[in-house]
Amino acid sequence: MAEDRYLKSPSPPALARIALSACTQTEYREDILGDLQEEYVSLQSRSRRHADRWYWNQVVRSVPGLVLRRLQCIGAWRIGLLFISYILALLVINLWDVQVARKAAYFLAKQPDGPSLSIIRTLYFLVFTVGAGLAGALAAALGFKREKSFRSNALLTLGPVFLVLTCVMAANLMASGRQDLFSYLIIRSLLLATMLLLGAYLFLKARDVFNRSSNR
Amino acid sequence: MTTVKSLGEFEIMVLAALMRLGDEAYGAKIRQEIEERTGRTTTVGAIYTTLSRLEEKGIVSSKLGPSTPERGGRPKRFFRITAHGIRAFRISVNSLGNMLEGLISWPKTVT
Repeated sequence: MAEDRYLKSPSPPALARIALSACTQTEYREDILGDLQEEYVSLQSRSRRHADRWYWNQVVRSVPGLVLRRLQCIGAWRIGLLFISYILALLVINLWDVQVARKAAYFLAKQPDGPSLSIIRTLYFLVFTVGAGLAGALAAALGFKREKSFRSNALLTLGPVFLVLTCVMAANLMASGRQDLFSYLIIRSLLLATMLLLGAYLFLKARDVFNRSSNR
Repeated sequence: MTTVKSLGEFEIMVLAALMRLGDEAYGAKIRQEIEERTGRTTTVGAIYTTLSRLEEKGIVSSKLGPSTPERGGRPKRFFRITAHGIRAFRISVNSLGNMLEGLISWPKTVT
């Protein structure tokens, strides 16, 4: 009966739980969430609103310390390496975009019997994604840690690159007053995320194959 | 011999709570113990940040207990102070006491 009560009891605010999980060291994540849930359940039997407010308060006040501790555990050299991987990945994407993808698109556009604008735009996207794939592979080579899962590596290494590029694109569109191009931003961001992940994944697969063949 | 670094104020509080709670010392209970005894509101995050640092220094050790339904099926992590931790605690509290000696005259009754 007691178990039924706990199973039926409302769970803590999902967004707060996600925020806390993202900031906490893997080792203590479940313990912190469990401790907070235990206190939340006892508080919400009195007032759900009070319990929600208490939970959010705990999360908001815990996050800075937990993030700092997580960074301390990551280590200064790894933070430096991650930072270099962000810079290099951003550099590769931008250089590829300006020097290869845009130049190819301009070249096609100048041709008298060249393809239509929509075809040129599609081709430009395709060429641009190759650069994102290369950047993903580079970031994986520098920033991925072998003992961590692909998901947590991708979040820590590729996440910031994706965020910076998407925010810069959004800011450019806002500044130029071209809010009508937000669908373009969404497509480009989706392509960027996919190719960053694909580039990193293919690099890791290729490295595994190479390591296995060299061990034989 | 391992050198013992002096502990901070909050670290001393957490260790004192661990000693008081004995085998029942886990995050939520430690937080409540500190809050009840000092009146200082603290977060589970702050407790774990401190415990993680203390565990890294070998001052506390931890082990996982059974999972319970009120915790959403998550296990409790019980913490214990180690012999090295007791030595560090004693040194820190003694040096604090030495510094405060003669400075404070405690009232006999709290009004």
